[in-house]
Amino acid sequence: MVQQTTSSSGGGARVVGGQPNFSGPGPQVMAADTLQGDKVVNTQGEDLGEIEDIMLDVPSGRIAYAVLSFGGVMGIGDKLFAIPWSALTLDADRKCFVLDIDKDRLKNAPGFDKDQWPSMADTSWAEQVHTFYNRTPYWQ
Amino acid sequence: MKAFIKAASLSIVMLPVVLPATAQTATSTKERTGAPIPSASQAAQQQQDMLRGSRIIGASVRDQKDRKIGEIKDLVLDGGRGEVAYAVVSFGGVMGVGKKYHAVPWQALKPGDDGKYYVLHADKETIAQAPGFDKSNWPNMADQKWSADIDRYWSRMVGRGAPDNNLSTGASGTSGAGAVGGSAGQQGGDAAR
Repeated sequence: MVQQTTSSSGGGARVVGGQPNFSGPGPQVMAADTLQGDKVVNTQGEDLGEIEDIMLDVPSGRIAYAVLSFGGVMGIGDKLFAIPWSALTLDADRKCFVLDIDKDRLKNAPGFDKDQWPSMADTSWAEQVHTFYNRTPYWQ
Repeated sequence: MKAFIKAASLSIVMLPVVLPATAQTATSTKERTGAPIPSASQAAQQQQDMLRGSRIIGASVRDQKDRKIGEIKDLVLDGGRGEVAYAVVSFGGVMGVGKKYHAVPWQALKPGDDGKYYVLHADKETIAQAPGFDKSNWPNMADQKWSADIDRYWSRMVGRGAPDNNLSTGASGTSGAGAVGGSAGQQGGDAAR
């Protein structure tokens, strides 16, 4: 009934691992409300933070970014990072998202303050972010 | 319950359907969608188009006469395609279906001003008969038959008298959650697939 395979669709987060006999929303199907707080790790398994929100391009329905909260202590001093959705891999076994980036490099990623979200529809901002993570912009 | 849903949502299974977007990009690692590259003159409009998921949850749903008929309770994401598949809507108090939630294809909803509400071109009868589920017992939304039934219902019922509705083109309704996604530019291709 279901196949255990890696998504080749570049528009979205890839999926690894997982059990075929799940019950409930599948790997690729998830409730937005439950994403908040999901852990994000890098390929070395280091904790990078957690999902704060997702950004949607409303007319097309595209998931543009996951917003990652990173740094600080106990939620204080956190910096936010918009991560292109396609740069994330969903690890079903570990129940987290994987972002292939060094912690030190993430510190230099284009980020923003919790109280000062950038204009994410701004093309130059969006291109800068996608270039940093080496992803093809979601609108292309 | 929430913990269960979260754990379950992170389980991995590929939908067995060959989705249009996947087929389209099978020979390329670069993902392409039909979304236009925003121009400078479109910047203002584009800004309103980009919204936080958490702000969409809680937005009201209105009918074409601007009456509130429901509220968005959650969004169902197709993570692999990187798209919103459904809005989970509570039509509170309308025709006694308020105790249920309904998955409405995202493309059936037209964003209103500032993203504070969304317009659904559907009459009361359509809403009353729409497939729903108990709010404390969510269906397996990765199930192909479930999503196909949802898509078929809404593509048939929504958009009567609303020629601009995406679903009236018959682009969806045959292949599961993937059928309701896609940008406007892909709708024709989906239908002809």
